[in-house]
Amino acid sequence: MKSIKKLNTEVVALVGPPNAGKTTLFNWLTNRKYKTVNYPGATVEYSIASLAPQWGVNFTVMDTPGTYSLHPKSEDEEVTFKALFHHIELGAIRDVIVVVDGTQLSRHLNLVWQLKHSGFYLTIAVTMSDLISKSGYHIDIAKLSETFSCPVVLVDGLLGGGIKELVEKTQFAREQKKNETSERLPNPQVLKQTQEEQIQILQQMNELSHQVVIQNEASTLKNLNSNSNSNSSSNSNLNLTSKPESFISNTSLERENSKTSPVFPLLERTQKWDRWLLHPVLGLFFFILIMSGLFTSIFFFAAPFMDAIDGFFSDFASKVAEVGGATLWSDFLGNGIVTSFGAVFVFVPQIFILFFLIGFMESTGYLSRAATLIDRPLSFFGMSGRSFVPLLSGFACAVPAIMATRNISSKRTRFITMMVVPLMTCSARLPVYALLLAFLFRDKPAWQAGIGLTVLYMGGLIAGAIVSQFLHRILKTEKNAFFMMELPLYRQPKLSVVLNQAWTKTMGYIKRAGPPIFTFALLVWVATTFPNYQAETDQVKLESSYAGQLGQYIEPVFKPMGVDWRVGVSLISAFAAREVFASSLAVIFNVTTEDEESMQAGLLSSMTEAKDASGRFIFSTASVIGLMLFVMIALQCTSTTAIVIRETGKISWAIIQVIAYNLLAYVVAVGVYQVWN
Amino acid sequence: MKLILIYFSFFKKIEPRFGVHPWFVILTYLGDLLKRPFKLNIILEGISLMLTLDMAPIGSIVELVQLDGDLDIVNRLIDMGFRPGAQIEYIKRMINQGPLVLRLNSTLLALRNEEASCLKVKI
Repeated sequence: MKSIKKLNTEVVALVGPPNAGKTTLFNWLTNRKYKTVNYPGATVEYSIASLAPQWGVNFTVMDTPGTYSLHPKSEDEEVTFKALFHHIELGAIRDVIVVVDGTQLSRHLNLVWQLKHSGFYLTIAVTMSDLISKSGYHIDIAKLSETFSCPVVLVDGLLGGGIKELVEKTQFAREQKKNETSERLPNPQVLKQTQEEQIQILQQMNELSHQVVIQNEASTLKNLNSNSNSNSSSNSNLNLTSKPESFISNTSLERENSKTSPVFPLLERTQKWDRWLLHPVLGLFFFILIMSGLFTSIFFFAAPFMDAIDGFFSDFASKVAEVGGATLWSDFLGNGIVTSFGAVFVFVPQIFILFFLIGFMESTGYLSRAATLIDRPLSFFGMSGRSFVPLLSGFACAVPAIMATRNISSKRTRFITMMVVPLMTCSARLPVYALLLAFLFRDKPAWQAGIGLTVLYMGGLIAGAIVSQFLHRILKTEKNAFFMMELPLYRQPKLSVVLNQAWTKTMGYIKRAGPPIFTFALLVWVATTFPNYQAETDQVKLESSYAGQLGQYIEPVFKPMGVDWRVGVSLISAFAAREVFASSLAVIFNVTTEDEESMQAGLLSSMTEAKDASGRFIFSTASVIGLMLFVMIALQCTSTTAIVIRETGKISWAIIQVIAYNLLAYVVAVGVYQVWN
Repeated sequence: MKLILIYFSFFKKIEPRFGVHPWFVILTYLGDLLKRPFKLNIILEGISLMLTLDMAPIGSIVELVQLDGDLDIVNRLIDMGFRPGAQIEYIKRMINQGPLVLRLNSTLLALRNEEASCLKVKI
């Protein structure tokens, strides 16, 4: 494999520690038009895009997951490492823009050193430079540039200052090296250091950072701040004069601990907020408050959009049926294609809002604090604070949630999280719950159904707790369960960046989850239409279809749940997408009204009247509760299984997961029905 | 009784060559209890002893002396910027022996117990 390594000079990689402002810089460079790609063979994503035209230069930029060093420890970091040194498709990268946080230089210069010494051609982009100058400091670019013998540029992520310079300097450096014929490949071997050597370099870098970040002298300060408003400059002056001269020293000890640190005001503000938000007890209270606010807003804000999308697709389907008449072709277009597209798109608003809110919390810096707060409670279930985001995303859709587990460096924790995520009440379960609750609480006040829904949500959480506790007990313990989380300073998020990220992720979801949902919806259509597609009524057509035949064949299985084959077929069709359950039921019980509002009413009334072969009512309280519990536990989602296979790299666990959850769901549903009756 | 238990747990963790006065343990416990460890810092001035960070009193500012323990964790800590000589402020701890929140330079970090116990610090 090593012999086919080639050097790629077209791509410039963006490397930097987490929270250094890498993504913001990438957005500036590429004008927010990028695509995320998976690293071949692994599942971690990175983004790649051409430079935006306004910078006047043409090369490709690759964003990589944040990494503290070139000693990879989590899967994210492994990918950065691989992408840099031996990318399967792109070859080895030569040029790197390393993004460091100007306020964290003492820690971040370590990565610069490692990159330099493994043979990359660097351009250093120092972010947060505006913060530094505000506190009356400046960065000695010349010194930094001399030490690493590479260009150094200050950039401002919020306003986009310095980007042009960064692009130009990178391009200049690239052109200079164009004539170099020796294909010197960057080599990670240089980094095989002992611990002592690593610490030594860390010390050196710390010293360097103190030499590089220099406090402005009063005279130069005035010049520097002449453009900024008078307010900030007078503040800085005040800072300077109020401190005794001896206090302002460049020795590392004093700088670290003193109030002269460039980010001191920000740090102070953060700690003031943290007194409440990260309070051991009150923090949990705020956490619950914020989370309930989050969920309420997901349902509240998404509802009108979901209704609109749902209405659009059902209108469109009926229009197609109208225009095409009663032909097979129009049935295929209307009930097959349009309905299945609708099934994909109806959850897009919820997913977008969830991604947006998670992105928002992440960029304010709260998300890592939430993870810290919840780490101890979750560790009881064999998970860690890092499992929090995947679990949260699981309430929208298990597919992106399982992808979010990549951030967890411990294999065991990641595995348990992946196993538990499908039990979280994803938005696809909602239509099914809505229908069954509407049946159970018909002619009763709405708040009762609301409580029922809350109980079902809690039920999903409890089931998840039981399963994770079980796995925690049976899996052998792992030595290294890292938590180690940086708590970024609170800052105001850049809304356009967050929105753009949420949009890209939502599109990613549609692209990934869309095709399987679409395919299976089509399969269900075929199975419920053929072979007797020319039957007079829909009911006859369904009864004699492949799905109907299968349903009657497996009816004994569903008998103990108190339902007949028709519900069985709906449950099986729900394996395409859970929300299909309701529409299949409507088709099977011969509810023909196209209008959404009366379709629900019609379905409810035919559900009340439905009797099985022996004349017993199918939908009793017991069987409906059994059905709801079944939907709660069962893993009726092929795209989830597909993603679990991809992420675990093994088919076996995905199969075990499917069998175990569906069996458990079945046993619970049967148990409830039998005991209740 | 609790006091005695804590005494022993401390005793085991502290490097024997430094030796420790029983009063230190009691004071640490009280300091933890009252969340007023600055008193302790004054009392301990001049006495140099080494303990792991998770054993240090909440609110104290300590100096990192060495990194010791599981190799993976130590390497990770080095990557995060923990180096001997660095000053660490141990700010708070989540309930029920949860993660520790600390400040290293101008960075706030959360570490689990097992990670913090790789950091040998000097008060």
